[in-house]
Amino acid sequence: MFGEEEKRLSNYKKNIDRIDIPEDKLENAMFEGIRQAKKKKRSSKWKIPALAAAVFLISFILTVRVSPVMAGHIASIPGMDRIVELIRYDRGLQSAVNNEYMEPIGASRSIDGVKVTIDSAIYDEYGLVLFYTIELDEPSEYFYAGPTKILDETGDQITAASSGPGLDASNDNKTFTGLWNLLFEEKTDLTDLTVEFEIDDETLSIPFSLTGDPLETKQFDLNQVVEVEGQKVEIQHVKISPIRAIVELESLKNNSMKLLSFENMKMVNGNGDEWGIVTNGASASGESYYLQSNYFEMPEELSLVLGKIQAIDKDEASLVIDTFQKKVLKKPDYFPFEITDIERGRIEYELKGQEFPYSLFGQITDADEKTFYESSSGMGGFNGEKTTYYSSFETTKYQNPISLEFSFYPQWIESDEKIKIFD
Amino acid sequence: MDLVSLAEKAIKKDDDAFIAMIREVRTDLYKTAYAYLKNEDDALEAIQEVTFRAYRSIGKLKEPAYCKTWLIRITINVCQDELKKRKQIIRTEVNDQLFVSEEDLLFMETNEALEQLSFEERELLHMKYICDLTIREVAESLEVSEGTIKTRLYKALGRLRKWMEKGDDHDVRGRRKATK
Repeated sequence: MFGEEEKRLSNYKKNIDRIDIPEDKLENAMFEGIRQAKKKKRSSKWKIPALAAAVFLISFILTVRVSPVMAGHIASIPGMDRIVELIRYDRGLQSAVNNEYMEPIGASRSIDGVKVTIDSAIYDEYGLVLFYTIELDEPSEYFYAGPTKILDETGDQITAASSGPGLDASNDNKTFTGLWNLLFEEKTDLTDLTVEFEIDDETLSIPFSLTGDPLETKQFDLNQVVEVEGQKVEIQHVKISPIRAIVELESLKNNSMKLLSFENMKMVNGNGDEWGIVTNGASASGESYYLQSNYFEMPEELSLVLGKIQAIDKDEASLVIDTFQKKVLKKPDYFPFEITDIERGRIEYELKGQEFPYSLFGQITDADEKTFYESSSGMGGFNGEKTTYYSSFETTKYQNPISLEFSFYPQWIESDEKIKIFD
Repeated sequence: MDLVSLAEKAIKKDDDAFIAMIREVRTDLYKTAYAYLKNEDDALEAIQEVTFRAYRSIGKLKEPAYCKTWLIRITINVCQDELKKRKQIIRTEVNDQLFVSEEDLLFMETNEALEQLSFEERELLHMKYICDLTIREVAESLEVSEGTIKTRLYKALGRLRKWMEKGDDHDVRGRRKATK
């Protein structure tokens, strides 16, 4: 007698059955729930440091080819084996450690059975790298905590771009080692500092002092315009400090192409040997590129090579789609991707026949000029035939059509010109 | 290993079994959370909360055979708590994922009607028709007789019909009346 109602409920169920199941996120949610249940206190909100993860992924991919050069030599120092592991992909930090340019700290604080120790630091005028250890009373397979803020002696937050690899767990899941790599906007004096860790919505503040004098940054003002396949780039300054080398450049406004990413910018010595390579790939902070430095082994002559630059015509610099009609409204002339699925909160695309380990999109703009970013993106590994990518922006309210700006694109201009930094 | 054996081990504080048990049923839990909360982020947060509550109270699960029902009920409770927290009645925004064809206009209508029901009525209909639990399973988990469940289901369907009719009278744009 309730046939109609039952039919409707069954129809309702069919709709529910059709939703996408975000397996990875469910997995995270589950582990986070278990982790919180195991602790006395709990956090009310669930967060994923997605952006941080993305940044690391990029620098990881781009630096993986650097070989561990000093693992044997340093590993005998207590605690150093973990640090060596953490900096395996950064030649600049390796070279700093090799030259004993590192200050031991040993400041500890505890909260709720979690003990955090700032072990040591490497710093220069523009940056600070902190090495820390987190020890737990009880082993936890899914533990995560990390530093969130750094304060100066007056308690003001120091503005910095930060990154660091995820925590490296010991075999018993009770000790975790991490590093926090901070890059300051301007020259910053570091003396009495406090670093804040967020552990389950509780803040743990650890004060510590640095006593050494950082080595001076070597700055070279080039202010030289270089032409790369018709596009002009002004190389402004090159700054070399113990932690990193910074190249500041600007793509000139009247260029016909938008320059997206300098994939393999490098510095070479007088013999043409590679001295430092780009570590961030993406133009994460505007026009500054960070290269692994080799401060302790300065050559007599140093040049910059821009290498391959991902670039796209300015009037083709985004993909326009309508997620309601599931249609692509505008795409570049050369678009080697196939869009395989368009949903309200997600698009999927694939690339056949070539390997391109970057997810394409950055900022998204909707029909009302509202801007937002994808909430997550990723790609499957290249299996010799194709790579599958996805980009999600699930719960954002927006008006179709939306325009997805390219941050990366498999189209390059290239320069092997050696631009003299000094000789 | 089947779900019941996993639940047995999970009750004895076997973490791996607990994880495997949640993995086994989480698609159903997620769909339930999505049906109630209507967006991915909130549904995921609900699943985290469900895992949290389940882990803490797994010892109270008396009958491993009903672990799925038990988890679904926790999910519904978590969602109801969340909806209560939002205080006002949500004007449901039907996601495009759910709203794919003309005939799915019916979906919106059903959804609106379900939201008008009491917590217990909606829970019952959800368990029976969306999670496909049997009357026996529902009865066991609520610790009442199968007869009582049948009576309650009957009442809940009657109330659902009432709300669907109301829906037709009010904010439905040119939709046909439900056949009786």
